[in-house]
Amino acid sequence: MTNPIKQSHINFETTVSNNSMSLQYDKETIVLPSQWKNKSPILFAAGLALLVTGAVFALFTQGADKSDGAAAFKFVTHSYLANFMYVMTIALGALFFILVQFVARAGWSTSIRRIAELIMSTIPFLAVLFVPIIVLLYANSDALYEWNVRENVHSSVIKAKIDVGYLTKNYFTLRAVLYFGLWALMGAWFYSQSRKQDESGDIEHSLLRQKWSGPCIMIFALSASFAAFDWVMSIDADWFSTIFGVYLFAAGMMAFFATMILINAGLQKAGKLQNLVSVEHFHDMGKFMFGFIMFWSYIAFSQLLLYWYGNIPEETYWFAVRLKDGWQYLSYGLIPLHFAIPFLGTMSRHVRRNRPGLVFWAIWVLVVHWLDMTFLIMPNAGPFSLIPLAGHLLGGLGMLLIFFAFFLVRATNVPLVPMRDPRLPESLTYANPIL
Amino acid sequence: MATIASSYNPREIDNTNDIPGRRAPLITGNQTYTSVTEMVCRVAEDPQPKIWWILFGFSSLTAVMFLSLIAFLIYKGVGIWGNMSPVFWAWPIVNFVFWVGIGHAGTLISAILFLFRQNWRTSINRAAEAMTIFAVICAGIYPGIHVGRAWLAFWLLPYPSLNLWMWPQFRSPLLWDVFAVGTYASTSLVFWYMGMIPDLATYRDRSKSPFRRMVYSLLCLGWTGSSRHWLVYEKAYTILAALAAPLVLSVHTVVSFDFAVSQLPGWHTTIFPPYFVAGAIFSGFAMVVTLLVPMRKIYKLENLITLRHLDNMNKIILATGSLVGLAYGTEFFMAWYSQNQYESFTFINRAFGPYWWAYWIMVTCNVISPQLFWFKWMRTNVVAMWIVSIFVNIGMWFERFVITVTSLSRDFLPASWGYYNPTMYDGLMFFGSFGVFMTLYLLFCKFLPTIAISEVKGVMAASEHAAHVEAELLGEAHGHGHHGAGH
Repeated sequence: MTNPIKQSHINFETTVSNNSMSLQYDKETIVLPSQWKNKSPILFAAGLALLVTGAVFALFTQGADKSDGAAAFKFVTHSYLANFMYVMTIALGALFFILVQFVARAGWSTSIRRIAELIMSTIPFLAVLFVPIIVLLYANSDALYEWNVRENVHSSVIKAKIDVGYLTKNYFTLRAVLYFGLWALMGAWFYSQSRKQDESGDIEHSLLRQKWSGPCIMIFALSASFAAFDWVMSIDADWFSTIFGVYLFAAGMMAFFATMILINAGLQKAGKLQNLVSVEHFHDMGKFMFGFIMFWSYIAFSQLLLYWYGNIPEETYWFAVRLKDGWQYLSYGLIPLHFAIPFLGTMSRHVRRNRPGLVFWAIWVLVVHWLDMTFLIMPNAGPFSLIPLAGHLLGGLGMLLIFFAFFLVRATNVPLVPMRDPRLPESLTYANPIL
Repeated sequence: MATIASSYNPREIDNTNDIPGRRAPLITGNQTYTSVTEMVCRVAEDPQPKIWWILFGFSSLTAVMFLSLIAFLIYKGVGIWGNMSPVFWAWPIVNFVFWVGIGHAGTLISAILFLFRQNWRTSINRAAEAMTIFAVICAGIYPGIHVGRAWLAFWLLPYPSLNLWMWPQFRSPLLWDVFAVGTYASTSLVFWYMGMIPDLATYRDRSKSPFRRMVYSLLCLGWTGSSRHWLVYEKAYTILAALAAPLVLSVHTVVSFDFAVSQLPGWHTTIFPPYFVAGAIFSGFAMVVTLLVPMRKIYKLENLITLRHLDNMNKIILATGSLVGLAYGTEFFMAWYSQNQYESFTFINRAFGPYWWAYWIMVTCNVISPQLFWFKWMRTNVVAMWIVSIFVNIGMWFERFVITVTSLSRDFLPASWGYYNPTMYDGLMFFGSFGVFMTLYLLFCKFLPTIAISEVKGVMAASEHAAHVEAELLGEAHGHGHHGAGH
């Protein structure tokens, strides 16, 4: 007597990968054709144009306001950093997501994993976007990083950090190269293993990634924390907060899940990923987005509460800057916009299982993530003024377009789903419990 | 008993590996629904083994000693402890934080892992939840007796005093602690009890003595196992899990506020909330491993609490231990980066000052010893993991000691510096709190379902499939596959 259950599992080391191949999908539904790649230069050019227009606009309006070219340039450099961090945190969120999927041997996420891998693969491109910041340092400008020109530094605290070499352009650059190198390397290796599996269907590629995901998470945690200290915290080099790396991580993860929701929904609208990404995946991505909205709030609140309560001037002035000169509207605004409203909005499973609802909240989250990066960085460039901030907003949109152009470069002509991943069947069949 | 004899397999089966695309079985030994029920129920139904009586005798005596010492403390005053100026907060708060931290694993396993659909939680959640509640009880004792006039400890509760119309200080994190720990304890208790109801009904149905039957009948609230009961039960379970999940974070966050809202170097740092939570999960899982490794052996539960469960817990210990290490490193870095001389002094003082030994015990136990879990043979060797879990327990106690005592003993004013020494009462009472903890845990093993029977059944793979996978794991693929139907 033949037993169907038993038969399908005999010699499972070889048959499982074949089993998953019994899934036959039309190439059309899982590959973006070349014409999409052709759109990426246009998107890139448009993004760049927006970025430049925004910068020029800010330069003139801020300059006209203050009749001070240096202040206007300072505004533009901060705006660039804020918009860069806006997309960089999302890409780092993708890298962390991939690492966690393997360390946890996750099955549910397999059919959406390639999209995250493609987002992660934009990290080398994003490194190029960091070059202007390095150029700025080597042009001996202290418009963005006040510690770059020692003669202009009055604070003994900053001087001490310059003198040991920590906050100097050479070591800053060296560390940036190290961070990008590690992230790009990890990203490239995880992506290449995934692509190799597309060809061979060999489970060995899954096992290898599982093996290395643990150490890679350690590297990620260290490098991402210190990148946050270097790139964002040190624009105000007197100030310090041990939780700062966790803060950016939380913000980035939240924005990453919003990006995933939007890209997956967009691709499905374009006729891709049909029957491969289901409402269950959207539900789970929505849960994670909800979770990280909460986690961000928890981290942001912890930082605020502890410094407010301690009331030590060298710690609280960072908040004081953000609670005056018009910035208070943004700062207080983050409480409802970044926490209370999306928290209540994404709490219900009905919203998370409703495509338009979830897309709405994902867009919301991407907007408030931009506001959050603005809150972190822009007050250091001077008092709030609405008109130049419109230029900053244009820059943010431009950066998003550039990021999407990078994504399309990676995403065309490759399968959008790891079709021969042995865990794909699990991802296609799981369901959230019905309540 | 015949069912058990055939299904219990004392051999350690390595079910830790998933071949990608194929989940390895969570429980081993070709279990059936009947054999799972038998295996769990006999823990309470069979006479307890000799080792139980020895442990129970010892720990209940220790608990009695603890209670007597509390009575003596109340009679004599907190002066019998080593607390002194400037270390006003010493072992009592260290022990409080230690026990609260341990009390994090249960609700994490039952609530957060439930929301993450981690099925492996099912064999260990019950024991971990029980342990959580007992640890929180031990924790709760300390602030109650540390207030000095223990008979006035109810002043912690927010009620207006009738004569003075005074309230507790709402701006104090110590008061938030009363709320946070109180909420956590009550939610965990409800969650634990609610999860036990179906299993208590099983105990009731199997009871032979009328008295036993009556007690379990009362406890299981008339559970019949109807589908309506199950529906309501599942809903309530999910809602409670969602409510309990943020509590796992909030309790130790508020505990960390006790320290971090102050201005004391070494305490006042923003990473404290997530760092304390990671540390709490770390110590909680270590305690679960410490308890479950002997328990599964004594009660022959190796087929239900398998190497896979232990391996997963050890991975969490590795992850949270490394997170704690990252936090230590970040604090040290930021002490320098802030260029705050007090902060820098505190950290150098921790590592090289009079309490250097405590600091290095902490680092060795908490950061270095869990790194052994990078090796699979360490994660799957029960003796090795048990030793590491003990190290972690020790290390996490020392972490709280280092934080509390080193910062207090040398603050801003060198003239007020001091060196803290515990007294005999400090030591005996801390030891005694283990007596309370173990007594409660042993009673739990004797009277309550130690494993969530119904939940384990829920995740049992179709038995034939599981039997086949297990045969392959055991390397008996050939002989087994053909007469598999017999199992």
